[in-house]
Amino acid sequence: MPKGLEAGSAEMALWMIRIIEEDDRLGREIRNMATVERARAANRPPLVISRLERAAADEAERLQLDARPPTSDLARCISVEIFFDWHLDNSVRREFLNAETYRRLVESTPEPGQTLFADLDTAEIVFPGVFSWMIPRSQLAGLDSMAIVTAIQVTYRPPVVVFVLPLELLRRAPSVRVRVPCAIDAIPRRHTTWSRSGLPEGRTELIDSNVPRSAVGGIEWRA
Amino acid sequence: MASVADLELAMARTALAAFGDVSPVEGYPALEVWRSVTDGLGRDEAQALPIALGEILPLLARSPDRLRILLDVLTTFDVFESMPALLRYIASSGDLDAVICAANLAPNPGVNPADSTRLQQLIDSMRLSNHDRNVLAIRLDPSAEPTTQRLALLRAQLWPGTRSGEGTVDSGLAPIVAVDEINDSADFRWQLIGDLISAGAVVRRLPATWLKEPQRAWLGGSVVVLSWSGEAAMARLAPFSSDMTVAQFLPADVPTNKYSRERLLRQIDNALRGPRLRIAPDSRDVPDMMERDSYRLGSFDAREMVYLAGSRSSTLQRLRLDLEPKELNSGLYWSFNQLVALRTWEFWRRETGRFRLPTDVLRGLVAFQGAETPTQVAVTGDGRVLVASGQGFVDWKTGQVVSEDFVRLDRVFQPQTFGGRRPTPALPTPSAFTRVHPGVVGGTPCVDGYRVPARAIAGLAMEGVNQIEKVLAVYPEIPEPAILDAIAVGGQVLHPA
Repeated sequence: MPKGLEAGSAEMALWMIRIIEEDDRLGREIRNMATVERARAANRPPLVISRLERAAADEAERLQLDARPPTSDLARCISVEIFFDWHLDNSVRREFLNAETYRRLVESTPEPGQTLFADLDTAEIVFPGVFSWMIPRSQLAGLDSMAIVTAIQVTYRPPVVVFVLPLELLRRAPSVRVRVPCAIDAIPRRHTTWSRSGLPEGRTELIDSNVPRSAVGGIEWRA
Repeated sequence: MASVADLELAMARTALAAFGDVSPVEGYPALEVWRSVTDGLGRDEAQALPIALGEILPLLARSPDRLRILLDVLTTFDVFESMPALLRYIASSGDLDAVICAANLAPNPGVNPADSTRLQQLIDSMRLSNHDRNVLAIRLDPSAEPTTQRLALLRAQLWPGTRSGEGTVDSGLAPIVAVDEINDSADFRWQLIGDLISAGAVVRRLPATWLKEPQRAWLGGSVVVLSWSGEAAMARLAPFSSDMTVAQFLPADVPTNKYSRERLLRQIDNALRGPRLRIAPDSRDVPDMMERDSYRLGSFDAREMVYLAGSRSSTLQRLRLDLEPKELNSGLYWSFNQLVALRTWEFWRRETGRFRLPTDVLRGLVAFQGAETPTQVAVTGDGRVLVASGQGFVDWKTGQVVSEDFVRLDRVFQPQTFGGRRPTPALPTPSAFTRVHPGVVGGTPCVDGYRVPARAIAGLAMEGVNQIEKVLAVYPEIPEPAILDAIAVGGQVLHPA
């Protein structure tokens, strides 16, 4: 939970408790803690959310010890609004009213993917660990934006911005180690459609510590 | 009764919870927060929302990700009432993104001129690059010269009155919809604005009370003005934009539910000479009436079957063994799959001129379990039901590719006219204001967006002479054109050919 903000609803608190309790890959301690917090969730949701977030962050550090180097090209899919808010170079972002006006500009260019790549922020880390949900690139082959949204079980509308992370570049970035996400990873992302059984049709999601910008080989625009 | 301060506090708490629940890196956080906060608000609560959003700024200041979402909300939804809170935050933080947000809001005529002056003073006192100064100047002054091509685009977006030549610079720009707040109500206003943002519009609010006159370039010939105040809106805005025309003013009925908001969105898109908006498929567009969950629903009586299938009472009786209606309280009722079967059979025999057509088509479609959309379903003359697969159609039972003649059901659902007979209405929209869905009131044609059967309205209207006023009084939430349309449709249901 970001410092200084104690907020959230009882519904969110109870969702967090439920997914932690149900994920038997997690340690007994955090699962017991979630059960204890259930009694408080309805009356003091901000406090419970805050506690679960801290516990989840600690547990994520422990789980990261089991992470392995990636073995294939990966991809990270986000909405154009998230690209605008978090991946666009600040000076570019300030030249637009909002994400919608940027989307219209990108769509009017002959090579939208190249436009996005050129406008990408220069920050060293492109995806902080908790937000680095990726999928083997081969599992997106031939999918249009609607199919991608269905495949990765997110609720936003197309277009989809696909960050391409080639294995060659991932290997050069020594910090990149991936593992299968579990309940505590869904918490910071508020990934309420997350399922313990993973994505449908055998697709696999992976989560990393931090993904450096140097691992980004290109960006695709799937309208 | 709650005081304004109580309401603002309640809305601040609601907004904080929404910001706590939203993922800052998923989907469209600003829209999700907006939807979450505005859903189900009462009129007074909705009125208190803008001030409350401003007041939570300092609470989010230590959470950069949530703060960015809030600034995005204030800009995108034109929450100009937050200007005083923004200025306080800027004075204490010097946050450039907050300054840009304030600059986006400053031209709104609801902003106090003293606040605009204060904003300019704060900008002048800040150490900024030339580029950032230009970024701000473009937002505050339509005569500022853009230093980059993208800033030229920004100026055209923010100051539509500066655009030269109709349609020449609209490529790459989002359509602007101005929402006039005279005679409107904040609760549905926020939901409508949420719909507009979701559809890709830039929203410009026109507050009921102006604290300053808008700059002339703030409006222009490409802006559509949505107004509930009729000609008053035009009279108020015309002096500030010489190139505005009557066609830009869209008089609106108060949208009372999601469906009427969707209809309004389509009207706006037409006024924008669209498609300019990204409008989701109509939530009642009943391609989904063919889905497995819907296809076997419905309970149509004989008069509805005759009207909607374009058939005759005698034919319906003759086909009783093939269609196998349910008997209830000594009446016969047919489900939607049986209606589709009868309509398709009638369509096929008229198309082929074979009036003694075998009933295989009927049995095939009655047995069919449903699919995604009518465009994916077809039927052959011998009653084999086909579903779309790849580039062609396959038998839904065997999976075999079919090459013989077939008819797609979306053709069957189009309105039909044959000889001198009364036309068969379209499905799922028998008329402009009525709609059929097997899961809604048994499938009988209802007023679009309401669960009110057309035949009930027609029945009421037929009780005496000049009963229209009586019907309007009974259903005050339904617009008059929809009532008149429903009476016509309901009359045909009650008195089929």
